Amino acid sequence: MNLMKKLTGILLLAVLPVCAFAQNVTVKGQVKDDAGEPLMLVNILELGTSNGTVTDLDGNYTLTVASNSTLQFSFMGYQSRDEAVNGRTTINVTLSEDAELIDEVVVIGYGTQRKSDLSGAVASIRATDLKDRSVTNAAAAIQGKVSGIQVLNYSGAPGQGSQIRVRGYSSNSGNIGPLLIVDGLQVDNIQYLDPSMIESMEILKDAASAAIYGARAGNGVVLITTKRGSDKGMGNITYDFKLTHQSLAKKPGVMNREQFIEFKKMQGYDIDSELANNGDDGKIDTDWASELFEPSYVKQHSLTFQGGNQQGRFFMSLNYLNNNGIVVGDKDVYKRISAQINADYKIKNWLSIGTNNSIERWETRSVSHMSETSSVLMAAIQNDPLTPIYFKDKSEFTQGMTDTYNNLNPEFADLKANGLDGSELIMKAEDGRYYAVSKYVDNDHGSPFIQLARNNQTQSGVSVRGTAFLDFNPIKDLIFTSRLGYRISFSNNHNYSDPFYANPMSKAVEYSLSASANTGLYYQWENFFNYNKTIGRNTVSAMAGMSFIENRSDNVNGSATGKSILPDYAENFRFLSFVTTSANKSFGNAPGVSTSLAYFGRLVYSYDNRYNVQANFRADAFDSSKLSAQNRWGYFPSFSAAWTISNESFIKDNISREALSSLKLRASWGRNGNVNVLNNYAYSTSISKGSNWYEYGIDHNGADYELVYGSKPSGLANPSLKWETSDQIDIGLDARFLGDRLSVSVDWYKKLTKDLLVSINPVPEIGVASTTVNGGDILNKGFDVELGWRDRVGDLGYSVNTNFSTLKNEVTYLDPTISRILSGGYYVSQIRTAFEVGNPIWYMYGYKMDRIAQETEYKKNADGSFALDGGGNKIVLYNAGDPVLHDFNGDGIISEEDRTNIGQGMPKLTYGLTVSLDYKDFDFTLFGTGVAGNSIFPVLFRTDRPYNNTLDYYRANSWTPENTGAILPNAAAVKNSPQFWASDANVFKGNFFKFKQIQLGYTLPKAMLRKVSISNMRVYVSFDDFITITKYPGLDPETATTTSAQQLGIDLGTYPTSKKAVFGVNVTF
Amino acid sequence: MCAAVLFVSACEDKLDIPQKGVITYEDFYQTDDDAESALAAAYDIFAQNIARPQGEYIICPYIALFNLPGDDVYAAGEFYGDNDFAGQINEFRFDANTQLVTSMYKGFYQMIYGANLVIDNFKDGTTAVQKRCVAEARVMRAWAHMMLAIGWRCPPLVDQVLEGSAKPTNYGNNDHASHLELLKWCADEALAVMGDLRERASKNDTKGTTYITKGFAQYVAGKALISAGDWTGAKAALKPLVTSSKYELVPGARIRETFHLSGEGNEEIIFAANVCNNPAISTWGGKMQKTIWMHMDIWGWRTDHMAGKPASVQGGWGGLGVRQDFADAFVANDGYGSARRQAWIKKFDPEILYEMAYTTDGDMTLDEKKKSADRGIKSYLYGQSEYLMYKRLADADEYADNPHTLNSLVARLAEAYLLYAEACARTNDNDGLQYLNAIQNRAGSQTVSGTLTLDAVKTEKRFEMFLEGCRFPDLVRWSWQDNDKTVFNGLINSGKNVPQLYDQFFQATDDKGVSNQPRTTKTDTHVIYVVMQQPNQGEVGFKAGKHEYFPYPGAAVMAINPNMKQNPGW
Repeated sequence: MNLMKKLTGILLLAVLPVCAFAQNVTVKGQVKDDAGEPLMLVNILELGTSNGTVTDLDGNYTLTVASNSTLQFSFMGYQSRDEAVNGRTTINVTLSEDAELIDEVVVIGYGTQRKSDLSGAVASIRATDLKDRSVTNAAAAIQGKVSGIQVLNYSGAPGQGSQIRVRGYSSNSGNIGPLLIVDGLQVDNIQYLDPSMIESMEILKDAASAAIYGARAGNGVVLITTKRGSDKGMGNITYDFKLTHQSLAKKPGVMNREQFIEFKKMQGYDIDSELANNGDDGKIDTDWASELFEPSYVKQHSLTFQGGNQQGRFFMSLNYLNNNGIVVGDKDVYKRISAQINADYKIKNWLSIGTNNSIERWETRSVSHMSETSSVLMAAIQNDPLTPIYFKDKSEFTQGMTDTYNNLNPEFADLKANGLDGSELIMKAEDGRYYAVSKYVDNDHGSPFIQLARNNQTQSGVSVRGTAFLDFNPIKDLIFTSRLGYRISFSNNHNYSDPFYANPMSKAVEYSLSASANTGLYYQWENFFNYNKTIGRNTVSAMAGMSFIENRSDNVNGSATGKSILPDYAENFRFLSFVTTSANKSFGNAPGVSTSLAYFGRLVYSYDNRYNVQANFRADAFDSSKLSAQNRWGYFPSFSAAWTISNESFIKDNISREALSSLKLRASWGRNGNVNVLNNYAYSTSISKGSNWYEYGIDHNGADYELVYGSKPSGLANPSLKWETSDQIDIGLDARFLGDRLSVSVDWYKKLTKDLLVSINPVPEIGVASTTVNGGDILNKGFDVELGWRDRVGDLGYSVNTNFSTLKNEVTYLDPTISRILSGGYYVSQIRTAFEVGNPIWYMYGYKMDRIAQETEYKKNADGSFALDGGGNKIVLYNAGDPVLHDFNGDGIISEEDRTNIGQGMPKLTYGLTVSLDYKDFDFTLFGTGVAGNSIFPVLFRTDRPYNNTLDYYRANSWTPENTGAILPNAAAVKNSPQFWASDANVFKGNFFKFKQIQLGYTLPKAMLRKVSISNMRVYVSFDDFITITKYPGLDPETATTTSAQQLGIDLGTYPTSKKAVFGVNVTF
Repeated sequence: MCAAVLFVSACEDKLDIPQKGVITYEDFYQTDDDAESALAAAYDIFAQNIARPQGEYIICPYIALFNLPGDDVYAAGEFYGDNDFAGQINEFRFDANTQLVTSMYKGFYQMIYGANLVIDNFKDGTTAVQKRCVAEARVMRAWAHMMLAIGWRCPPLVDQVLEGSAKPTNYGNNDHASHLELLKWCADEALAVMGDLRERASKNDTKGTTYITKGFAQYVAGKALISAGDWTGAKAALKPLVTSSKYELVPGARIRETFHLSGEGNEEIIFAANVCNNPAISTWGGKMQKTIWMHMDIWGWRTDHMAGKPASVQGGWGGLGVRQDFADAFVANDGYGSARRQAWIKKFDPEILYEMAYTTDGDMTLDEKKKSADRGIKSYLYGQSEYLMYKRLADADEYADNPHTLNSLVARLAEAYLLYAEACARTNDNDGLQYLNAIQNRAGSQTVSGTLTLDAVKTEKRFEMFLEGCRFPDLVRWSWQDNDKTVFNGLINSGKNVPQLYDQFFQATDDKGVSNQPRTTKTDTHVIYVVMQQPNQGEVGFKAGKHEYFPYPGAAVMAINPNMKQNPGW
């Protein structure tokens, strides 16, 4: 309820002229809600005048009014009430909650619309949904809250932004995120926005709604409105504090010592000899994950000032966040200080101005993960349990370490000459102990602690973003808005690494030092008219405008590498300024600029609150780096209509509002684009000057010779290149029943994206190996469903909201010159992701295991007789326990052509559930989200590194003569089989349900707080990300993926989401 | 509002943003410098595509595709099926999608594209520089078309830069007559620009072997006309070349250097794609891309199967074997002691075993060497007869010192001599005899012809041009020029009867060879012996009516270009 009060901030009352005068009377009273709680800041207006007031903290008010007047009591979120004074001096009022918020206003791009008038599919999230979450960025906060949206938390690392997907995956490129607009400003990320600063988020899901953003809207649009000050009563000050204790939620299911040794025996390795040869003491059982992670704290402070009157409002919020992640030490840190300063002022009745600004200072350090090499996280999974964390002394060194320590390693001879002793190459902890590496395997990481210790990368920056606007209201019903948006950003990266030796695979023979400075200046200028006219039952609104955007960037970077790059390597020398002249240096800079221009318009007509039709149109043009002058314009129309059936007399007259409160049918069609795929003059061919060379003359024979640099076209021009285009149909139904207690919203959509950019090989006679064409289509279809129930039984208020979205994604066309596009590969595994007609995008392309052979099977001839080899012996096809992979092309050999679709990284179902309870001063929230229908493919088994650790699942489920019903084959039979390890036997269900938030809050009694001048105080505890229901044996199933859109669901060891116990206080003064 | 309207009208200009770091197509191809730069790019493309067409980095398709189908070599390796990309070609198991066929086909057209960029943009050039650049590009384009015609019969003639949507078609009527026409077009192109080309300054002008000269144009014209069966035309084209003082056969003692670093730019070379050792170019900055360093690895002797290796030799994967029948005929023709035989192929016993120097030699006597476990064949050498290839074997010194800068040889004088001699032999013109004899004498061969006969030229060419991409195309051409299908006899069983070389000192094998009995006891001294294998019971070997020409690439051409017709039999 307190939060409902916050919503008063957006209530704007019409200013009406004073035109009546009568005998005055002073009226007092108290305003309460249904529960009997006093309501503060309720707006009380003497109707027909501008005379009014608001209730105080206890819901009391005093107002002198004409004795025959009528008072209007209104409060956002409650049904307004009119009371005739009739000479009374005490008027107590109870306001009822306006459960359905029927006239909620939603932001739709260059304007707003009543939710009841919407004809497109717009998901809306209010500040209440974002309240007291431990997530630190706006994108993460909407996960599970609305249908049709997928939020991908690629990683649990501090400062790792979340990605939003609106209605599926519409591009073969990585450019599949929605357009992000904050207070009208187009932004490149929303990680800087603390959820507490957000008033509302709207997601334009269907193309008709998004079409007003044209060529950028093909992946949906997210509109965010930050909070504004309340224009009523005294201002207030709010302080929020959150202390989060975070720890590893789920240990990876890797093998311990006993399991590891057993598995090596099952695989047929002579582990006993290995143990003996390496001086194993029979005790070491290192649990790398437990050692690598430790609980840590996140601190968040938020201080907000807001206030205003009918002329002007201000909102200022300061946020501080310090998250030192759960990896031991201070190498995974995200710090952010941000401020939001919003203000607006009505200077004249016909002119308002305002500005919204956000200032952010951030700093990140991150540990390496999602990689097969030099990865802290992969090391924690793959390092064997037989290796300790530390070697006590040199006597325990591996041979390679000893040789290096003793300057016998020839790779470091040059370094020795430069004064670096071999002993300095062996990495030590601060307490002087040496980091241990495995004697059993030279893996690519050495030790997670070595990788951690070597990480010296820092990133930091400052961003200022904002808008300034002017609303000009020259005549009634018409508003002209001119809005200037800007973004200014600076960021710096620094990195330093020195030579080291862990093992032959994990080492560095050179120093490396790099730094970069990046600046960005972006501005957009938008000018548009909004016109609204109601004549009788007809309402027409129109909007038309233009937008111009210019985005400039300037990045300077430099690096030095080599065996000797600095006069000294102490920390205070590790800057490029001190690099020696002999170091191998490189640097880069090329300022960039991009521009775009657009015209847009909207027409809405509604009749009698029953029929609503809407048309949007946008024309977009982009600069010559994206498209040629001839092709730069694109046109994006859309149409939508809504029919509010419940307002028809045949419903009104026959069905009670208690049974059916509202019923609306919506339909829309629209076209959007995705211009982000076009960059760097892809359509044109220029001359790559000096990119080739040829030498005339034989130089090493001492004859005269002449090196000539050659120039040729950079490729094959494709002037007809264009952006991706999506056409989407949406049909939706919104209904509320049982006195608004039950609400249902269902949408079905079908979105076809055409003209994906693909690289093809033209006919070879042209002489150019490849060129880019528009040559692919993707179809996304699905249902978005939202169901809500809310009611109050005595003092207990409760609500249950659930939403789910289905997604069927399919590639429907690919240029006939390509059968499929394969993603990049991995060191050993033959698993790939592929883009191919008839399959979901970037599905997992691997082998299919039919069964496990249970006895020796022999090759047979066509006639059924046994085939014999030259010696007259039967030819063995399979031994018992061998995997039988499916031979799709039937050539008798399992080869790369026998790979098929064995899973998809993208979920077919995404869902969320929120349960809220309030009882007297207590409130409780349970919120969870989940996915189903997706697969995870762990690339955590290395056939070429037998002594790497891996998931214990592989041991526990392997076929043995005693366990013939096992789901995995004989471990010995597949230990060297890259094919088996790229088969569906290694595909895991990615289904999970995660309890994101279990929160209990208590609002302290106001009477008590009043004595210390506090108007409201709430304390809460929350258990976030505490429980995950999953069958995946790796780390967190939610983050078991790479960030690449092309390799979704491929688990290369990702920083997992931590579980968090949050303690929080909100105080309002 | 007014400002907004004004601003909008000015906005569209702001969309024009020039690209950085490039110049436009329209601004290039103007000056003499541009012409030289475009030509350098064409040579760069040429050099890359002769060494590593399409980025092939394991084996060089240009060398593999035109040599491996010959009746003089085996595709060898560690075991049967090792380096199967080579085995497929050697045993005629390839098909339209075989990588090497596709890569080479694409590679030739990329060379043509590079040349066409020069020709299209400077064909109306008036300066001497521009004319010369166009002339060199036209000869380069003619050579690529000639090799395409030799390989694929009637491939498309691409005489200008094509549009991205182009779907070219086979040359002419896609028949034998059109094949000859295309070859004649190549010759005409080469001869047409003779006046604009540079001439090699002298036989000591090494630089003059790194670009296209009059001499190379004459070679292209002569080879194209011989391939087309125009003997008179060929003689006319080649006569100035064979009589030129700018070229000379190297003496027999230096005969092997032409294929090695030490012989780069020597008096015999007409044209080789240059790979420089210039310090301005980084190893992977376009240098390695023009080298055949991995190919040299593949063709290196399989020294890891040997107990020791001669010090001068760079080991490798043992990817090429010398056919025993070829070696026998070679020795019979030249005599065992000829300089050419010693430079081209080495007999394992005694040359490799005892005569070449090993680092372990010390003061060892021959008898000690015979009992030494530091030499000989430890396991076996698959695909090797008693003779190992030596002609194009990487030497340790050039490999260790500079494995990556060996130039790709395109043409040398000896081939021009033999082409001229053949044209003379076919026209009863005794002028050719001197050139045949020059080759024979230089080789130190015991066979020196007294009269010029076609057979003598053919025999001489078989040995002289070993591993220079001539043998298989010659057999194909002779089959119709002389109406003699027996030329293919040596290919019908390619892939059957593959030797495996053993040393009884290390290995007593019970392998059931074809021609040899099992040897069951080890010997005290090195005894080298061959066991013949039948590694593939499936369909292998040359099929007349099909294998004369390579197939057009299946996926890369036939699947996407309805205008192309596949070659007969494929």
